[in-house]
Amino acid sequence: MPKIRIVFLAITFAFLAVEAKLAYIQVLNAQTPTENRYLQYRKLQPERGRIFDRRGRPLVTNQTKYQVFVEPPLVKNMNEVIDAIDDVTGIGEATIEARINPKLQWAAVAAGLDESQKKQLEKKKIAGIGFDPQPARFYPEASLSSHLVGFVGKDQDGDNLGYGGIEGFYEQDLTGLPGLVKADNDVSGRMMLSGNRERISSHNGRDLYLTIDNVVQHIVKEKLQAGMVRFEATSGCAIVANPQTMEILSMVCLPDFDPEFYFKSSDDVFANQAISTVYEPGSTFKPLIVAAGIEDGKIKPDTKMNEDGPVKVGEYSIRTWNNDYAGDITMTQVLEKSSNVGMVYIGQKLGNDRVYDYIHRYGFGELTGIDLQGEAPAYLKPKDNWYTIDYATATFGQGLAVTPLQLVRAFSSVINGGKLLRPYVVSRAVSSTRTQVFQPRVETQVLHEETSRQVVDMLVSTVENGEYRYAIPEGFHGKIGGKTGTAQIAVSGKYDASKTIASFIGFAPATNPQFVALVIYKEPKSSIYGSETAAPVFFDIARELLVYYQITPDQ
Amino acid sequence: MKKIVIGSLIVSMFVLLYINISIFVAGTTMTEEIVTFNEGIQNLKHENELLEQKLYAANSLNKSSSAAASLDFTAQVVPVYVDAVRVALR
Repeated sequence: MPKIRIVFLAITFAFLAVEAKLAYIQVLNAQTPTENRYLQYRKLQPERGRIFDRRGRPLVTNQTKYQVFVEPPLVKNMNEVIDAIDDVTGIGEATIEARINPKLQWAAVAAGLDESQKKQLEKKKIAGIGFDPQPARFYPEASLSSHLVGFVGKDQDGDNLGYGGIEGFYEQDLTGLPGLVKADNDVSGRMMLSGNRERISSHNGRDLYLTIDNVVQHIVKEKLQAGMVRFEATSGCAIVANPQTMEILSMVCLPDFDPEFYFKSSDDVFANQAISTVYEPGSTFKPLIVAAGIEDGKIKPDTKMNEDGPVKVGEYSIRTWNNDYAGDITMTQVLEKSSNVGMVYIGQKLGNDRVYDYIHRYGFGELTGIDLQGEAPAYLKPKDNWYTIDYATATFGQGLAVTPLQLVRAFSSVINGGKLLRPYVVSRAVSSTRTQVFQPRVETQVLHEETSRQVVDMLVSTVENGEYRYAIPEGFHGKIGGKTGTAQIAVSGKYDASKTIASFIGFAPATNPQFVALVIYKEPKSSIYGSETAAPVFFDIARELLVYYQITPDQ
Repeated sequence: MKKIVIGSLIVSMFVLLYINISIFVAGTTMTEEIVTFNEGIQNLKHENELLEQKLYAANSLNKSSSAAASLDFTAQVVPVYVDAVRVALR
């Protein structure tokens, strides 16, 4: 046979062999694309958006944590592996042993290891231990804004999911879009340039810039916490906002939790009391009804009424908080003395329908629309279910339930010229391609500017001439307005006089309020009154905010 | 003539074989490089993340306030000038 034929036959056989192998792989032993070990799909995880305060200081960023796993077939000494992991993680030898099934190829043992823990384990150089990186959140300010930002937990598939606050509300924006790489890999699992190859890039989540100011948040938390210890309260909450725009500058509720280690806290601390817990506002509600009376032309700040004793409403008798009656007093003095009898007088002047209408117009009974997950609308019962006594008690803030944020929003409308605004915490959402800016939004005009101006003067007078002497910063007499509130807590259908919710809502400077702050303590024990608990804390906060915002007494 | 055709076929086969091998080797080299660069990028990203984390933690108000407390600066951080405005305004 000529040599050329031999070469030809050899080449033909070689090709036939290749064809036969291809036929075996592709026809006889065909695999679906997902089973194909050469063509591989890899999900490109986007980076979760970060959260910054209004000045660009980080509140939430990202970090890498590690899941430690064991590959039993590679382990030489299982006891050594268990000891080493227990040394670093402290989860207990029995737990680790139970998680490692020697019959399996791979077993996850512990998650959430940080860089230093990983290095400690790596130093031991033990065969069979490996690490899987896992994206996690990092909170430089720890629990400073825990209720506000929420936390990132897991969903039922084990994927990251934001819960509560901003993480929950802006889950879609923060998560971003995952990408995909489809590529042929070689036998060692590395991608090859030839063959199938497609790449869809991932889009990182949007970074959020808040209206919150870290410094204000820090001041408020420090003062609130000190007050909680001093007054032995079971919980406390404070909201600071710009009343002209309803940008939330600070929102702190205690007790709080560390969002990085949220799983170590009990479920009952996760609720943001500022937006999801309702309470009876008590006397802090009075300025709203006074403003309504002035707006409807039923009263003026100097209108007089005779506070000569308890007032009868049906079978009920309504008294002042100290059962002391001053005779002829003006409407300004009604606020100064926090007279329930005076408030019933205003309510009767307004009429039941108008009292109810105004409660609605101030936004009670509906969501404020704040961009935080977990807001409760605070149920306002239908008008048909209101009795005469309900209208009377509502004028001084008892018998109705509101959230602290609803009160701040309504109170702001009273001092900002009558505009009811939507409160918000995110001012900018920034992605690689665009920046979305969120603007203040006026929902409705509740009062005329003149009404607002008059009520501001009355509230300044309340601070100056109230029955309690406040520690007003020097130079700011006549420039800070506010109102105390002490609401009894209903227990089994009756009010318990020893259990109260003490609060104070105030603002400064009076001529052009730059901040409004609400401080609430639940069940304070050293004193049950808002004037002796929440009010001093408000003035502590205000003193520091006046410095921080460089507000001088002549402004 | 026949010899020329056969000869040129063999030559072109070797040329094609050489080109094929060259492309394969170049592809493999580039893949190696891409993998190396990818790993480098990932390492840099991780290093950057760790540095950023350290920086943010060091700059945090949390850290400042605990440092202030340990240095007993808490008495001085109270804004005393608000209570003595006349001095501040001068």
